Amino acid sequence: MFAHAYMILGIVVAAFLAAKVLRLSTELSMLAAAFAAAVYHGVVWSGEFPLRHIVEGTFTYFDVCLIFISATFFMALVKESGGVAFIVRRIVGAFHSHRFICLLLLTFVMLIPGALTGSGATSVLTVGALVGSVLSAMGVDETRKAAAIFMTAAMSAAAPPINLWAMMAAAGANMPYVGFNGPLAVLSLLGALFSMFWLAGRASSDAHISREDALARLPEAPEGMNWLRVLLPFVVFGGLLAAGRIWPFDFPIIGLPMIFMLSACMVWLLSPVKLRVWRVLSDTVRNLLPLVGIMVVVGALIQILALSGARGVISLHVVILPLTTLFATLFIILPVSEGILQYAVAPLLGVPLIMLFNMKGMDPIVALSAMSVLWPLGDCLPPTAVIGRAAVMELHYEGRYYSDFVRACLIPMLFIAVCCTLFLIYSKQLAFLAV
Amino acid sequence: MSDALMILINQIVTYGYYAMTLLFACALAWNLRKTRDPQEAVLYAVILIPFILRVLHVK
Repeated sequence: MFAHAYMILGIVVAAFLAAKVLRLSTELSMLAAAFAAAVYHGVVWSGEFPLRHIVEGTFTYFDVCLIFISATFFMALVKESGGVAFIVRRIVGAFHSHRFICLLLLTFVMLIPGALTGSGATSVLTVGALVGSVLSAMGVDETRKAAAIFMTAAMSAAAPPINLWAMMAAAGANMPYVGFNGPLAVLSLLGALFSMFWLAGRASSDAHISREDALARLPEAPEGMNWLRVLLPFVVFGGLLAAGRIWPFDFPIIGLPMIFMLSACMVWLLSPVKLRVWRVLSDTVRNLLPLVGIMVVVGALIQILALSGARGVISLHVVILPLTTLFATLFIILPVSEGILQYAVAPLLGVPLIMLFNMKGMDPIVALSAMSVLWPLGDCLPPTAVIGRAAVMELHYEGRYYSDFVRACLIPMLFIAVCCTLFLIYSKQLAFLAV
Repeated sequence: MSDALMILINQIVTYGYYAMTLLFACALAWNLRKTRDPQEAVLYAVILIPFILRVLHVK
C-alpha cells in the first residue's frame, strides 16, 4: 500500500512538472497530474478508471466557488456603480491634511473587498488603482506604492469573514469554519496597518497631500451618489449575516452566496447609473477563472490522492515532524508553497498540519488562522505570483519586480511572519480570541 | 416564525441557489464560447461540470 501511495505521489509530481514544461497553466497541470494518477491507480489497483471520483472531487469546494463568484460580483457592482470612487474621494476630501487618518482609512478601503471575497486580486482590481493614485499624491514613490498595495491586498485576502485558505483547510479537516474571525482580524489588521505605515508613512517627496492633485487623479463619482446608496448594500449584508447568528432557530439559513447576491441586488436597485449587470458578471467570471479553476481542479486531485492512499501518506509524514522544526520553518515553507500551488496548498499541507497541532494540544483555530495569514505572503512569489503581478500591472509599475518590488515588501513580510509564528507558538494562550 | 413559513422560505432559498448556479453556469458558458485561448476553454469546460450537474440535480 505504501509503495503504491509513493508511486502515485511520484506520478503526480512528474505529470505536474511535465505539464509545466509543456507550458500548460498551473490549473491544467494539476488536472493532468490528477488524470495521470487516476489512470495509474485504475490500471494497477482497481481495474477501472475512477472517473466518478474525479467528478466527485470537482464538488469538494463548490460552496467556496459560489461564495467567491457571488462576493466578487457584489464588489464589482459596487465599483461599477461609482461607490468605490465616491468613498475614496470623500476620504481624500475630508482628511487630505491628516496623513495618519488618511492612511488608516485607505488601509480599510483596501481591506474590505478582499475581506468580503477572500481574494486579494479583487482588492487590487477594484480599489488598488484608486488608492495607488492617492498614495502617489501623498508623495509615496512608485516602488513603495506598489508594495503597499500588494501587502494590504494580501492581508485583505486573509482578513475575515472570508479566508479561503482557512475555509478549505477546515473543510478538509471536518472542522466548522467558526471562531476564526478574532484571530484572523487581529493578524490581518496588524499586518495591513504595519505594511501601510511602514511603506507609505513617510513621503519621499512632498510631505503634505495636495487635495486638488489627489482629487484630480481620481475618477469622478456619478451624480446622485451619496453615503446612503453606498452603505445600504453593506448594511443589508451585515444585517443578514448578523440575523442568522442572533436568531439561529428563528431565521432561515440563507448562506453567504445568497447574502452576497441579495446585497448585489441592493447595489443594482440603488445605483445612480444604469448597470450592465450581465457584462459585469461575465467579466467577474473571466477575472476569476484561474482562482475558481484551481479550486475545482484541486478538489479532483485531492479526491484521487485520498482514493489512492497518497493523501494519507502526506499526512503521516507531516504529523511525525517535530513541532520546533515546524515553528522554525513554516514562515518560509507556507509562502513558498503558496507561490507554487496557490490555494491547493491549504488542503494539501494545511489539513495534516491542523491535525498535528490538534493532536499536540494546540488551539487548532488560532493555529490555522496564523497559517492562513502566512499563505497570502507568497502571492508575490514565482511561479504564480497572482496578486503581485496584478498589483504591478494595475499600477503600471515600471521598476524591477524582484530586486525592487519584492525587496520593498520584505520588512512588512518579516513582521507578519514573526506575528504569525508567535500566534502558532502561543496558540493555546491566545485561544480566547477564537470566540 | 412558524414552522410552515420557515419551510417555505428555506425552499425558496434552495431554488434561489439553483437559479444562482444556473446564472453562473450561463456566464461560464458565455465566456467559454467567447474565449480564443484553448487552455482557457478547457478550464471553463472543467469548471462547468459541477455547475451543470448541480443544476440538473444529478449531484
